[in-house]
Amino acid sequence: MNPMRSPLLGRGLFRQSLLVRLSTMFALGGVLVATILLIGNRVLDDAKLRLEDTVIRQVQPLAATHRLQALSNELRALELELPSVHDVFALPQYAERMRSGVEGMTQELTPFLAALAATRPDDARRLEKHWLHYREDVEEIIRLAAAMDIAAVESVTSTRTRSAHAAISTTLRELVSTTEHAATDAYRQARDEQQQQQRFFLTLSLGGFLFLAAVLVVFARSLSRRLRALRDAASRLAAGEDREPIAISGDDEISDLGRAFNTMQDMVVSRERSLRTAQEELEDRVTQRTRALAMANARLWMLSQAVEQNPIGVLIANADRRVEYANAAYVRVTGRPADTLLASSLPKPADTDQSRAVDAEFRAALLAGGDWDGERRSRRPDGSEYWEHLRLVTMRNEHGAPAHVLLMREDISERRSQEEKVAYQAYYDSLTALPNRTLALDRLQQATGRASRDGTMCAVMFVDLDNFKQINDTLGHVAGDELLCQAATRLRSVIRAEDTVARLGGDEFLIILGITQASAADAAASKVIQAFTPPFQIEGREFIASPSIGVSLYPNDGDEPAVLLRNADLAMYEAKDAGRNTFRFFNQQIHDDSVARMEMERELRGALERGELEVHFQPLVAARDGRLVGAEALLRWTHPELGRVPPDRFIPIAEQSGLIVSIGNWVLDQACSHAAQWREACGGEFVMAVNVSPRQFAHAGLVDTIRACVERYAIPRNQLEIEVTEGLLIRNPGEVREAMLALEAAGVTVALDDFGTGYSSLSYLRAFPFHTIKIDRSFIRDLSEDAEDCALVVAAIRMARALGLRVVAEGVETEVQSRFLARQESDVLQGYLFGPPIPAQDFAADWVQNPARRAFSS
Amino acid sequence: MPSRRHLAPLLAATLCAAAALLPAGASAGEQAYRAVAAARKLVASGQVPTGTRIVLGFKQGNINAFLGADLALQKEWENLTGIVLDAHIVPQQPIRETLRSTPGFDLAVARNHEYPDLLADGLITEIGPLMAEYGYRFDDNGTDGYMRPDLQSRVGDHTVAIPADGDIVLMYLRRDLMEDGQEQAAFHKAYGRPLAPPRTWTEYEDLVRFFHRPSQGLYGAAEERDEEGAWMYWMPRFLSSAAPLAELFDDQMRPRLNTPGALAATENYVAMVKYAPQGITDPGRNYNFTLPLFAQGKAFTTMNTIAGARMFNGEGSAVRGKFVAVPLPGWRVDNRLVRQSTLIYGNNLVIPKTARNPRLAFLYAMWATDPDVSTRLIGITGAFTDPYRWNHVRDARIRKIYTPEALETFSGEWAAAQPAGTGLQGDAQYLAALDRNLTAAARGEIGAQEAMSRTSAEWEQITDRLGRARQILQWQAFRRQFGGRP
Repeated sequence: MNPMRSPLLGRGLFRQSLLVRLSTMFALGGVLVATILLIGNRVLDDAKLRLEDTVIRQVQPLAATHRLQALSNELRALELELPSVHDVFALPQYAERMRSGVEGMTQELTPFLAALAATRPDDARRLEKHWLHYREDVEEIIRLAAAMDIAAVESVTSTRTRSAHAAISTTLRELVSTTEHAATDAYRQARDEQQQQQRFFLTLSLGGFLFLAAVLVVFARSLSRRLRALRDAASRLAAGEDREPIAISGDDEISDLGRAFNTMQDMVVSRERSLRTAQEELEDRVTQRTRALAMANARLWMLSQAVEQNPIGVLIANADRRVEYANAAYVRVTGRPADTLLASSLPKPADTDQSRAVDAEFRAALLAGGDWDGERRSRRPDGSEYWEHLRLVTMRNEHGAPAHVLLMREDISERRSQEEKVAYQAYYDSLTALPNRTLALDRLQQATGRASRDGTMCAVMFVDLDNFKQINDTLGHVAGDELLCQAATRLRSVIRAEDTVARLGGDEFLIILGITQASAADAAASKVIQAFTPPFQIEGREFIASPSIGVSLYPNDGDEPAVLLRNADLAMYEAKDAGRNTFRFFNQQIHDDSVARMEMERELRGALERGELEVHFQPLVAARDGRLVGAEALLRWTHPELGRVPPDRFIPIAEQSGLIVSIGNWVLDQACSHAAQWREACGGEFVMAVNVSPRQFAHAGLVDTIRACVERYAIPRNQLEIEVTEGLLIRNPGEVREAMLALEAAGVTVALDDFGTGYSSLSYLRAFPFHTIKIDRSFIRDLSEDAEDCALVVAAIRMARALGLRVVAEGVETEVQSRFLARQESDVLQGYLFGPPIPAQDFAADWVQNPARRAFSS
Repeated sequence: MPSRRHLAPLLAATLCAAAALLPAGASAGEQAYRAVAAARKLVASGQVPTGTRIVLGFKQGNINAFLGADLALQKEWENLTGIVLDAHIVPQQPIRETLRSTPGFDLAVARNHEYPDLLADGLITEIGPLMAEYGYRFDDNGTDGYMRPDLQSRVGDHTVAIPADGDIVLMYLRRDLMEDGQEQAAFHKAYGRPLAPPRTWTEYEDLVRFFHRPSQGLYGAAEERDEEGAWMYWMPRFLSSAAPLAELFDDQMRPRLNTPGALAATENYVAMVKYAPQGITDPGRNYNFTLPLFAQGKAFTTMNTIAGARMFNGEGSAVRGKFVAVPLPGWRVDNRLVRQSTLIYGNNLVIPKTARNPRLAFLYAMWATDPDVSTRLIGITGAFTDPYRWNHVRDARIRKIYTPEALETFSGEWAAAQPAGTGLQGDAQYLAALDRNLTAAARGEIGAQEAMSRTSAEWEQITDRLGRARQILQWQAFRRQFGGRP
C-alpha cells in the first residue's frame, strides 16, 4: 500500500480539506463574476438597443426622404431633357422612362406618407397634394410625347411642372431639416442614458472584485506559511543538514504532505547509505570500461587512419545507400566531393557505350546488395579521364543483414596504360605503327568472316618494295627505316580507313580490303602503284621504290587466311617476275606453278636418297695457257619421269625448302671427294669450286661442315673455293664475314659468283675476304658485239687485279672471247668452249685422265 | 417569377439546352449561345481580361434597341460573359464623319448605302473572316433567317455589316378616310375609279391631290423633302420607271437620268411639294417633321419605314387604328405595272477599323441579333430598331406593336426591294449631288429636267474623279450581283 495515500483514506470525505476550501472559494468567486457580467451585459444591451432604436427611428425617414428627392429629381431631369430630343423615334424611349419614374415615385411615396401622417399629418397632406399635381403634369407630358408634340411638352416643363416639382422639393427639404433636429435630440438623450448605466456597472464590478481579492489574500497567506515550513524541511533534507521530523498541524492535504515528508525523509536516509555503496562499485566498473574504451578508440583511430591515408578511394554508405564517409583519396581519385547517395556516385563515363555494361552491373550489384568489382574509364569534373577499379562490398552486421556498403575506387590509369602499351607492341609494328603480322592475320580472319556473312569478297594484297634492299644497303638502316615509314604512309593514304594496311616484316606489307567485286581490288592495286610513283625523299636524296603486288581474293583464291596470304605471296612473285612495279592477281597458272613447285619440292625431298642427284663438273682452265686448273661442281637432277630438271628450277626450290642444306653438304662432300681423287692426276693442284647458297650460310654448321670436309679429304689450302652470290652478303654481312674469315683460316677460298649482275659494290670486295671474282656469263656472251660489255669486263678485271683478286670468266664459248679475256689478263676461264658440266666419271675420263686436254683444253 | 439575379444563369441554361436540341444552322438561341461561349472562351483563355469594355457608338434612339429597356439586355450580356458594354450616343450624321472624327468605337451603326464608302475609306472591318471563324452565316431561311441579307450586309464580295434593322420604304394612308363612304363617292365622281390604295405614282398624285385640304387642317402628303435623304423618296419612283427596273448608269457609267422615266419620277417627286405643309423643303424637315404630322392626323399620307407603323399605332397617336400601310406604287411600262422599292436608313452594325476589341464586338453583335434576343429587343416599347428577321413578323408582341396588317405589307415589299443608294464607291458624293438638285427642283429653283441634267453632269465629274475604269468595274459587279439593277 502507498504510504502517501493512507492518511487520506482514513479520514472523512467532508473534512476541511484544501480541495474543499479552494473549490468553495473559486465557486464563490465565479458566482460573483458571473453575476457582475450578467448585470453588465444586460445594462449594455439595453443602452445599445435604445440607441439603435433612436437612430433607426430618425434615419429611416431621412433615407426615405432622400430617395423621394432623388426620384423626383430624376423625373424632373427626364422631362427637361425631353424637348431636346431631336429624333422622334427616341420619344417613346423617354416616355417609357418617365412612366417608369412615376410608378417608382408612387411606390416609394405611399408608405412614406402613411408613416408621416402618424407624426406630422399636415406635412403629409401637403406633400401628397404637391405630388398629385406634379404627377398629373408629368403624365400629360408623357401623352404629349406619345403624340410627338414637342412644343407642348416644352411649354408644360417650363411652367407647370417646374413649380410643382419645386413645391415637392421644398416640402421634402423641410421634412429633412425637421427630422434631422429630432434625430439629434433623441440621439443625445439615448447616449446620456447609456453613459449613466455604464458608470453603474463599473462601480458594481469594482466592489465585487475588491471583495474577492481580500478573501484570496487571507487564504494565500495561511497556505504560504505552512508550505514554507515544508519547503525549509525539504531544503534541509537536500542539504543533508538537520533531519528532524517537521511538526504537523491541521487536517488537510498539507498536513498529509507533512506526514508523508517525514516518512520520505526516513527512507531517503536509509537509501543514501545503500547508494553510496553502489556508487563505489559503479566507479570501479566505470574505470575498467573507460580503459577498454580507450583501447578500442585507439584501435579505431588506427583503422580510420588506415582508411583515411589509403591511396584507394573509400566511400562508406549506410543501408539506405546514403553516404556517411569518404576518405581523401576518394575525392582525389574522382576529382569531386563524395555524393550524398551511393547510387549517384558513378561519375560521367569517358565512353558511354563502353561503360554501359559496367554501370549496369554496378547498379545491379548495388540493388542486390552483393559484392562486385569492375573497371571503368571515367571522367573527372575537370575533364580529365582515368581508368578506375571499382569494388563494391556489402558489410553485414552480426545478424547477416546489410549494414553498410563499402565502395573502393582505385585509379589504375597507369596500369592500364602499361597494358595498352604492351598490347600495342604485341600487335603493331613499332617502326611504321602499322598492324604487325599477328594483328594482320587476325584482321584477315575477321575480314573473311565478315565477307562470308555478308556474301561479299575480301582482297589480300601482298606488297613488296622492289628497291628496298638497294636503298637500305646504300644509305644504311636508318634510311631504310625512313623508306619503310614513308611507304607505310603512302599505303595508308590510298586505302580506306576501314581497310587494313599491315607490315609483315622487312619490306613486305599486307593490305586487306573488303570489296564487293574483284575490279575494286584492281583499282586499289593501281592506286598503290600510283602512290609509289613520286620519288621518296630520304636524307635529301630522291629514290624510286616501286611496289610489286600480289593479290588474292576471298573466297575465290582460298578460304583460310594462311592460304590467301600464301597465294598473294605467290602472285607477288609473279609480279616480280613480270618486271616489278606492277601487280598480279593470283590465278590458275600461279597456282599450277605453285603446285608444281610443291610437287617438285616433294620429289626433291627424296631425290638424294633415290640417287637422282648427281654432281657434274665443269672444267676451269687457265686463261694464259689453257691448262686445267680445277672444276666447278654443279648439281644436276635427273627425275625418272620429269627427266633432266634444269638447275634454275629445282635449286631455288631446294633453297626455299631448306633442302639445299643437306643437298649442299652432299655436293660439298662429293666435290671434295672427287677433288681428292683427281688432285694427284693433276699434278697436285686442282681447285674445286663449290656453290654455297645463302640458306646454307644461314645454317650454323656450314663452316664446321666445310672444315670437316677439308680435313676428311685433306684438301690443301686454297684448293677448295666456295662460291657465293652478292645476295648472301646483303642479308647478314657481319656473320657472313666472320664465316668467310673462318673459311680462310681453314684454307678455303671464297669467290664472288655472278659478278656484275648484282650491285657489285666495291665496298663488298673490300669488306669481305674474297679471293676470286667470277664475271657473269652475260657479260662474256656479248663481248664481241657490245663495246660497253667489253669495257665493263676490262674494268672488272682491272679492279680485281688492283685488289689482288683472281678473276674467273664464266660462259666463255668462243675463241674470240677466250683470247680477249686472256689478253686482259683474266686468270681462269670457264665455259662451253672448254667443256660443259659432265658427270664425275666423264670428267675424270675426259679431263683428269687425259693429259693432253688437261694441259690445253681448247 | 425568377429574380433578375437568377435570370442570367437561367437564360444561359436555356440557350445551352436549345443549342443541344436544335439542328445546326441558323436557329433561334444557337447564334446567341455560340457568341456567349466564344466570348467566355476568350476570357477563360486569358486572351481577353474579364471586365474588358466594348465601346458602342449608337444614335439617340438605338440605346433601348440594342441594350434593352432599363438596360436589361446589357446587364444580361455582361452577366453571361463578364464583358462590359460602354454605350455612347453619337451625333445624328453620316457615320463616316463620326468614325473619322472619333476613333475608338468597337461597334457602330451604319446605313446600308454607306457601306461602299466606309469600306473604300478603310473605316470599317470586313467581318467575313470572323463569320467563318465562328461558323456563322447570314441565313435567309423563312423561319428565322435574315430578310434579304444580301442587301444589308455586303459590298460586292465583302461582308461588312450585321443586319439589325429592316428599313424598307412603305407608304402609309389614312384608312379611315379611304373607307369613308362620302369620300369614296366623291373620289369616284372626280376620278372615275374607286377610292383605293394607289397602284401607280400617277394614281398616288390623284389621291394626294384629292385629300389635300389645308383649310381643314389636312395636307395631302407629308412626304419628306429635306435635302438630306432626298434620294430615298425619289429612288422608288425612278427604279420603277423602266422594265424590269431602271438603271442609274449605262455600261460606261454614263448617267441615265435624262430618260423619260427619270424625268417622270422627278416630276412626281416635285409635285408632292404643293400638297405638303408650308416649309416642307426647309433644311431639317425630315421625318421628325413629317411623321408627327401624320400621327397627329394632319396628313393623308406619308412614306417611311415600318417604324412608322410602330409610331402611328402608339398610345399618343391620333391615327391609331386609322391608318394602313400599303406597297409603294409603280409605273405602267409597256402595259405592265413595274413596282420597285429600296432600302433606306438602316441601323445595321459595323465594326470600325479602329476597334480595339473587334472580336468581342462581333460576338456581341451576333448575340444581339440572335433570333430570340433580337425579338425581345424589338418587342420592347421605346425601341428604334425594326424587324429584320422572318421570325420577328410572327412574334405576338411585335405584331401588337406594329399591327399585323403593316407587317404583312412589310413582308411582301422585300420582294421588290433593291439595294440602297448607288452601291458604288463615292456613293455619298453621287447621292449628295442628286439630293441637292432634287431639293432645288422641289423648291422651284430649277425644273425637273434641269435637276436631272445637272445631276448627270456632276455624276460624270464624280466618276471621272474617282476613275471611270474602276467605277465601271464596280458597276458591272453590282449589276451582276443584283440582276441588272439599279
